[in-house]
Amino acid sequence: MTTSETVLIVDGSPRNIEVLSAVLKGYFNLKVAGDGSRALALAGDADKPDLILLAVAMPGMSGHDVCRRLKANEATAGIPVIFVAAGADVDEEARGFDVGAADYIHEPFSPPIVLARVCTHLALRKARADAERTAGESRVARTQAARALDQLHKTKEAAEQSSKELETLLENAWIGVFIITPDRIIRRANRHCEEVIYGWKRGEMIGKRSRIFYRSEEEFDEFGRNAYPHLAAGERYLTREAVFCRKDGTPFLAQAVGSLIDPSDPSRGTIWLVNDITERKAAERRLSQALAEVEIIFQYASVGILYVLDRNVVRVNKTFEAMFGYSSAELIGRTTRFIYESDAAYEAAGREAQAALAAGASCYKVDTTAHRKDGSDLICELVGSLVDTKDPEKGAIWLFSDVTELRHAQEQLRSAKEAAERATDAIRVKSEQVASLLDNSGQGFLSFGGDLVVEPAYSRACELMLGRSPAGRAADDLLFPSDPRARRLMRDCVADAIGESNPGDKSMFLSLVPSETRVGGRTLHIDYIPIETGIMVVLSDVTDERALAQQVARESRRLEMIVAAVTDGGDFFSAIDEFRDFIKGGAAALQSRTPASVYRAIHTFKGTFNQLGFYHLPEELHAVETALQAQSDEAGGELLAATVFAKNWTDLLDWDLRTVVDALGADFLARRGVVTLSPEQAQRYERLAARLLRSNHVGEQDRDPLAELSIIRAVSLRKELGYYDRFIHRIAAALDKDVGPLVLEGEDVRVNPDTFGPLLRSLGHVFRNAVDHGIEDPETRFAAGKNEAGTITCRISRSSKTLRLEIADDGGGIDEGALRRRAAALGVAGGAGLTELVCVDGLSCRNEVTDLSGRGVGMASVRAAAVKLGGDMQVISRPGQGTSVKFEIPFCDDWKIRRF
Amino acid sequence: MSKLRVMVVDDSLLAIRKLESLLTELGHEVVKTATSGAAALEAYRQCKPDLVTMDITMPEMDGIEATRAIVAEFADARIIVVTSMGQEAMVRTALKAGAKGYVLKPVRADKVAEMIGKVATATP
Repeated sequence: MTTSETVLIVDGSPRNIEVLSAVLKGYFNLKVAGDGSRALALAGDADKPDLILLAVAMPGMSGHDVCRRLKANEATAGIPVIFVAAGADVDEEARGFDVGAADYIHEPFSPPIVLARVCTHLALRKARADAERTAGESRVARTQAARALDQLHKTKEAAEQSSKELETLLENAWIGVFIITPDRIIRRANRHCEEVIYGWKRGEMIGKRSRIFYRSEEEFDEFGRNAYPHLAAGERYLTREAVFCRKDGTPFLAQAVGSLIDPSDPSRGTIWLVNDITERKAAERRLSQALAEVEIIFQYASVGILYVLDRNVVRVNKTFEAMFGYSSAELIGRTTRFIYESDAAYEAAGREAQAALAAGASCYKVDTTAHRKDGSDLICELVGSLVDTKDPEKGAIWLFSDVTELRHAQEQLRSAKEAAERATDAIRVKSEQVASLLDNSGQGFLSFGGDLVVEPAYSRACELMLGRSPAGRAADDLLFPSDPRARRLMRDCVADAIGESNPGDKSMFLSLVPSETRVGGRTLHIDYIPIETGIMVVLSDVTDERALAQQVARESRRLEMIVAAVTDGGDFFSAIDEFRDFIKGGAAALQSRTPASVYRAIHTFKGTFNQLGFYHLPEELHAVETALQAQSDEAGGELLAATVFAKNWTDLLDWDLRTVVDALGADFLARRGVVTLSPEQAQRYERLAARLLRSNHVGEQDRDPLAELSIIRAVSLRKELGYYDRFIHRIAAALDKDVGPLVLEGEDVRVNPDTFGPLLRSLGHVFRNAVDHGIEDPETRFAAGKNEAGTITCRISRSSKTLRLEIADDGGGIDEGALRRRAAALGVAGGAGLTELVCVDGLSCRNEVTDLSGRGVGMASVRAAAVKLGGDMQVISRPGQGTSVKFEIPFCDDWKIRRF
Repeated sequence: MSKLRVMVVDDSLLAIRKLESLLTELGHEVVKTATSGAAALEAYRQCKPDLVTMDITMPEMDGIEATRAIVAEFADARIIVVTSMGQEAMVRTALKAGAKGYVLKPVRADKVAEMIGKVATATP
């Protein structure tokens, strides 16, 4: 809008005037009137307003009265009046439109709406004025046409003669022409009228009432009432915006001009010229709307807009003013020097822009530092373009965007990015340092998340410890390659730990995972540390430490062996002799033996050497035993012998014995201060003494020493049994059980180690069973009202013909039912009595075979030893009270058993 | 560490006696004992101990259920479960049920002291 347009604000309220003025100021010239009469006076001025904002309610003359009088006066009738009303009242609004209002605005005012309405109506008014001017021009043309028709009419006769020409003219005219009779029957119509304007077929409307041109009977009548007085008076009747109706019912706007064909003879009918103006009207509406929109966009655009002509401000929008801090219209007419800091900057900017635009650029874009009115700086993005590229004289439009914050943000972003890059570099250097530190620490570091897949970053030591690169592999497989239970536990606990948020809880779950493992011959200690992304594992190779610990254990075992050798000398050597005997024959000697007897022998040797504190032999014997167990019963003696002699037993025995020899010297028995005989010597002396005793050449004083000499190798049964005290306590400790000192009751007897040795050594099975199966764990005993510590008692008694030995425990007794069920499940024949049952080979209540127990052959070998001595064994169980194993061995002189 | 008021839950009187002497040696006071999980909750309500040792395998209500019941009512209850070696899976369940720590049998004074240290210093 240009400021050349004037708006008159009429309102009784000074407050309203102030508000509306503030909205419109700067866009229009404003006039104000406080009441109706003043408003009428101002509206009637030579310099009349282009639009009036009129309050409805006013003291004195009401807004409606003012409007009515404005509309009644030809000079002011064309001024659009917009009513300003206190509230929305439909009736009142209708009255307002009745008296000629163009529009309504309701309080409270929205500045953009007030402005838009005013702009719209001004644009409409202008468009209407243009349209009237156009219409005026066509009116002239039509008047001329009408005159021509008059002329034609006057020369009717002549015209009729040349009617073909006239017909042709009418038919081809781009204006609708029709003639109706005084009673409004269509008599003629040209093609344009019929087909183009009203949409009928050729000739179809002839003879019909002209009612067909209207939407309703009322409109038809009304048009008639309006037109006929004029026509009757001989005037042309012109209507500028009549609504007519096509055949299909659609209405359209038209201009129509009618006149009597012969004013002196109305009966000849009326001729009408009709022109469809629907399109033109729609175009006008679109134009005014577009103008209003453009204006709103201009004012409220988010960019500042400056229209300059020869570097002088012609127009400027509100956004620009706000951006630079100037008030409305303050800038109009000034040079754009105010944007720049200095004259030099102003000149330079001008030169650059001019050069660019003159070179034909459609627009010129530049960032510039601009100056606000208050002196502060802002960074503007300027886009300039010529209003008319062909004519720079028409000025330029400049768009200003305040990009201060954007540019600052971009700058900050750039420096933040640089900082981030620097930090990333620092982190990279740091992590390289840490990585090399870890690589050289000798410990393995690796990490993984919930999927247990090891991350690519791990320390080099991991490869050494695990034997391969761990990256991408599952940590549980890497750490526990041969322990499915540990793998499962690890997976579960890692999932639990990762699911926890508290570091203490995480560690608690991780502490359940085994902290030591064997991988490829190495013993690794594992620490699990919860980290942000999952779990870190720290591996330490403790192979050497564990080897050392094992060495310490071996050392203590060695001492044990030495003590055994020193204190149980007899047993020690007979065990060694028996073993030497066993291996002396080699594989060939074994082939004739049954697998069961070989197996039992190996088993017994294992127990004996275990008891004597041997280090290597029990372990190796256990391995052979396991291998034999794996062989089928049908395996031949060859395979059996080969399995047993796959090892060099002599070397193994010597290896173990070296411990004793190293500690005590090759003649350690001699150093005890005891005169020692070799077994062969002793046996020779015994035979000699026996022979001498049977002869008659021995004096009475010599009989006792000879008797003593004849059983020089006999051992004390109490003492032999007493050696098992240490054995039962070692087993009890391993099983977490509590057993009191071994109780020995009854008289002592001396027995021949040659004959009694096998039975004495096999008793290990009985003691082991008593601790492992007989005596309950302390909790169970306590609950059963027993002493927490179990007791094992050995009772020796003898009659003239029989030696009786009982080994009893006060444990829970044997669950005979369970044993029988197990025998049935294994498909082995259960013996008739309990004794037979416990002697069934392969029967054990243990599910797991250990060094100590669980082969299920023990009791059978014990009984076999007793039977070999011509005696027997009996097992008696008292549920809840204990188990008793009784031996009865026939007493025979040959065995040199005597009262000690 | 300051003296804690401890409740011992175990179906074995022997185990209770052992733990009692062990805890006393460590400078704590056993203020209450219970011999079943079912009795544990009521006992807890009565004495509100600083710490509970809870056997897992018990008839009627096991230690895990009892832990769950106590924690449901006393969210900050500090419960240490006691179970045998090889029962790690049960320990997991107990920890998830709200136990704060665990001790594996055979119970040794140093292990108990270490776990009490961890549990007592952890903020509930």
